[in-house]
Amino acid sequence: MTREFADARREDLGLLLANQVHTGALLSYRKNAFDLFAKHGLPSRRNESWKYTSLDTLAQNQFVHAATTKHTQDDAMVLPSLDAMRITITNGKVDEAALLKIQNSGLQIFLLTDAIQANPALLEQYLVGMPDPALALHNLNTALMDEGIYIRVPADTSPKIPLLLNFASRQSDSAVASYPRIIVEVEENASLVLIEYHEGANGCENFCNQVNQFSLASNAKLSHYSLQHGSVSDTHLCRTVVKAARSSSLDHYGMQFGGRLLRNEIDVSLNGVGANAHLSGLFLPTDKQHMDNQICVEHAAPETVSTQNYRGVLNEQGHGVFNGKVVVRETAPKTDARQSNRNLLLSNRAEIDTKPELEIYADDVKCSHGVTTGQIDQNQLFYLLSRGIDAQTAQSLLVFAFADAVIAPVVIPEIKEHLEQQLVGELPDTERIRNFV
Amino acid sequence: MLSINNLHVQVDGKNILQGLSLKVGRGEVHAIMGPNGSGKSTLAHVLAGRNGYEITDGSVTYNGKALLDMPPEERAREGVFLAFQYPVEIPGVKNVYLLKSGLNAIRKHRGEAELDAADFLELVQGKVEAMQMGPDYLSRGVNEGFSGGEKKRNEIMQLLVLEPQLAILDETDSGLDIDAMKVVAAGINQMRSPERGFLLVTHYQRLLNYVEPDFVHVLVDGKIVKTGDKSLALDLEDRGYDWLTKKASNA
Repeated sequence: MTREFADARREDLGLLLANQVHTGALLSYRKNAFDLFAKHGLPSRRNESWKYTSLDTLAQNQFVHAATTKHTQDDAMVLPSLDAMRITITNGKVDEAALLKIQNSGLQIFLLTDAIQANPALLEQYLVGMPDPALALHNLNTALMDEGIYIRVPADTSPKIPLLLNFASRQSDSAVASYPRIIVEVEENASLVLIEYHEGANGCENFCNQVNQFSLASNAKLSHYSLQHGSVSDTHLCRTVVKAARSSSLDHYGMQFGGRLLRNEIDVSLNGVGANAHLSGLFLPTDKQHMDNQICVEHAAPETVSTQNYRGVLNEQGHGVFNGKVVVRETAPKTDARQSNRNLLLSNRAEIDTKPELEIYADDVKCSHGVTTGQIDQNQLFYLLSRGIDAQTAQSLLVFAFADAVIAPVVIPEIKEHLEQQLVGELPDTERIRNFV
Repeated sequence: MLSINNLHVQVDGKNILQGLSLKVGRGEVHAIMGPNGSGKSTLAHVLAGRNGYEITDGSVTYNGKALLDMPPEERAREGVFLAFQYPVEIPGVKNVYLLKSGLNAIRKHRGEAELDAADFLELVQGKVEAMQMGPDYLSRGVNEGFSGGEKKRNEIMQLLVLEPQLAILDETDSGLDIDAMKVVAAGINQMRSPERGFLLVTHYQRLLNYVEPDFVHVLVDGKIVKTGDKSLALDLEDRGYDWLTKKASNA
């Protein structure tokens, strides 16, 4: 199965090379990455980080590469109330006109393939292959990447409004595979709010294999939102790699609402003294949806701080996976790392596989982790009933309250409101509890 | 208003209430006293409709209806209120939502118009101050991070807003210092009316110094073994429960 999948991807690569689609300086990286991918194929469940997430169904599907499909640029407006710099990426294809329009809005932004062509030496570090078989999809992205986006926020610069990337998954003659690549460099004392909004048209069975690479210089600040509202049959696998220098700070919000198979891999290295990363996420699988979060935070410098706050609400035959790992290197005394994963099971057919991992090689560190999995608290439920609230509303209120603990801290009011309304929409008896939000 | 007849209740196969009978009329305040484990809290929970109690015999009628057949939310809408001994914390559900949705569910059940946000705030503001709940009370999570005293005051706060016909207060006095006790008692006394009945479940007679009962019942081994007026509570304060528990086991 995975062999056929790999063969089909080899044909995709052949097509890109034959048509000279984004080759040039990229050519050798594409080839090298593909060889690494082909060596092991798609990760199997024998691999520890893929133990609970199977790609078998994906491997059985036929996809055409986004670069070989025709499509119309999508002009659907997401988060309409938000004042933002907007770029739509439809099946991996970047709206270049929109990109050009914001080129001088406090940040430098280019098609990634153009940036590589212009200055391959500068971007080489982002294109090296990953020997780890668990990272096969990272290699596949490098081999087959779409034009991608490269963003540089110059030192001491802070764009006034967020950058909103709207990833639109749209139907084509057959299912489409896209390979977006977003590279962001936030320079010293600069900051950026980056919002990814993934949505899919009904009926799409597309596959999006995304890689993000974020580099934060001293005192840089990046707020990154990944809002996944894909169609019920879309697959979105995304790996985000973050390197954080001295006193820099990352806030990440991963919100998994829609999609057939969603996986967020977050790999953060806190390399400079006092760097910090605050990661939070919500996953709401229902029906037969599968939502996976693989978090790894490496503390490599003293006085670094990280928090992980993930919550899952699992309904019907929904399947959630959380793997949160914290590694504290010998070089990272006075690390402060906290991790929490709490899960609410609403159905006896739902499943959560959760694993916190701590690897500590330094002395004098503060680390904590906690995992809970449970059902609706009967004492809380009875309390609400005893005040006259009907059972359905009471249950929805409790689920909302549980999940809102992740949404409530969101500082951008338009996003917070959007997420709370989306959350309410996921709950039974929506109209009754909408008044409470 | 409330008539309990020969009520027998088991918890995990163990007999807790064993033939309890009691009538509460409108405007009456009944105190239920008794030693630990006598079934006081079980009675309060059974009346409010909590799961986990098996009724093996007897009946309860409330305003002519079979109370035990109603789900808990319907009991609340019919005017039954339980002030919990141990109010649960519900982070993320704000006090304002709880009060407003509870009140509007009850109003709707009575065929009255639901209150909008402005009317609701007007109704609730004076009560928040009376119960000394603090300025950010409405936007805090239900009992979230509340001290023991705050939780008890919040129960009475809900009593003031929901205006039930039958108020069951389960050990509302336990864990209160004297100042909090006075606030709680003032809230209860404010709610006394010819239309409303009270069942005060308490271990000590302390609360009864502030809220004067019309009847005092002593519950031992799941049965009422003695009924009197407020002087019975003072007797119990002097003599403890021993003389009554011995009598019950000899009988």
